[in-house]
Amino acid sequence: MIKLDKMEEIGVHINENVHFSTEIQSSLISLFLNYGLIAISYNLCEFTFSIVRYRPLNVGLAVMFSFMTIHLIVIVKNYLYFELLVYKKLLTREQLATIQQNKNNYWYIKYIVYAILIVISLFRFHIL
Amino acid sequence: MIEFLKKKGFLLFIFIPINIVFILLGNVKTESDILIPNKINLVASNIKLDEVYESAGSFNMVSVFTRTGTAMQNYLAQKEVYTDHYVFGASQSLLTVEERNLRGKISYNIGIINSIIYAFETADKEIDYYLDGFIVINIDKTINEQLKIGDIIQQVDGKTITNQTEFFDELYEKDTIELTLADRTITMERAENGYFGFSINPNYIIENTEVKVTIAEVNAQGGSGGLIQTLSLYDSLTEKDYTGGLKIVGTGTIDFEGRVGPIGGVKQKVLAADKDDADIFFVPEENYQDALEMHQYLNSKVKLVKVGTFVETVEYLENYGESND
Repeated sequence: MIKLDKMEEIGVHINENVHFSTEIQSSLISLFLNYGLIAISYNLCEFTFSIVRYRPLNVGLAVMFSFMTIHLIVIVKNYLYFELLVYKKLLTREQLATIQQNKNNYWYIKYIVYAILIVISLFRFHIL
Repeated sequence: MIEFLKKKGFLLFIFIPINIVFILLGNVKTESDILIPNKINLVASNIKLDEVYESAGSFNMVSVFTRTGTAMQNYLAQKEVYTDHYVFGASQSLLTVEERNLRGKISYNIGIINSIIYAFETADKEIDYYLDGFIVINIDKTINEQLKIGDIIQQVDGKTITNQTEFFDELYEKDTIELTLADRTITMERAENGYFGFSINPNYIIENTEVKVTIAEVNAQGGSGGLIQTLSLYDSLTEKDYTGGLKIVGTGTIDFEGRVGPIGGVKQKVLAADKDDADIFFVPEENYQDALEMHQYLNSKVKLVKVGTFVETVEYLENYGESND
């Protein structure tokens, strides 16, 4: 998640009220867009918890899958948040590009972990 | 905001169809149940006798947990070896959840009553009981809308019936019957498929027993504990220790002739018995093949024994020590 102090470093100052309302909007759209994933995660957790005595590892996978869902919600929310700031002309494309350059150089590792997690889950839950 | 979303339409284009599929999979419930393995319970903790002959081992019931799952959970239950997915038949899907629960509770109570009566009589202990009509345990709402699960039928065509065979004889070759219930009298027509659309069980009431029996209030359903309950009671009422120091688990209904009847969720029950380190698992003949499949899959050390009658089960336990020497 890109922090506000990073924005301040590059001289982007946003009115706090506007910031709050943008945050709410992006969070709501993100939740809406990810609701299906939330439902799947909940179902997976509920099902695996019901047989935790017999397949404890599956619960671990289901919980990791839920964390992945939460993280994806945050990623979509952040994307929407900054796009909304650009849309409301509170941020220029150039400033957004500068913020994104400050991202961790190893950002792709989490996606590799997610891909591995999804493949293991598909086999473990007998979907493949 | 809407304008913004229109500009970012590709986001919606990608997410919404996937979202709809996921929401349907995760929320839509079907007319079916998921069977989940539960655990074994000591029979003596559910049915207590005031005076008992102590045993070195134990008799245990095994249960299956059922619940309605979503489309996704049904799919997972089908794919998962340890769980099963059971789709309701046409008549069952018309029953409400309360009616299904009531049916399960009645079957559980009948199982306990049958066990007590059969165990006391087999152990030559005094027991006084009488028949108080026939209890309706299932109805087919496509045919029959007059009877309710739990109704007690006192008379058929004005005649008091004394046993189940007589009840069916009374219905045989009749197209119209008059049933006298505790609170009303109804007239029923035989449906085109040849049925009246209800199932009954004798409703026995136990008045007095030589040894006082206390039944604990438990949230259990179904009569699958019949055989093992009878065994446990019989063992407690007789001097001989039939357990032989073993942890014995069993499943199967029991009737007044001591016949062991089939049950549901046998694979999940084998799994629970294996997990709880049972020594012997008694299974009805009709369910043996399914039980064996799970037994082989688990490479289980539990001794799987198929039984058809109560007497057969007792004989097996009597000879167990000798056959294993």
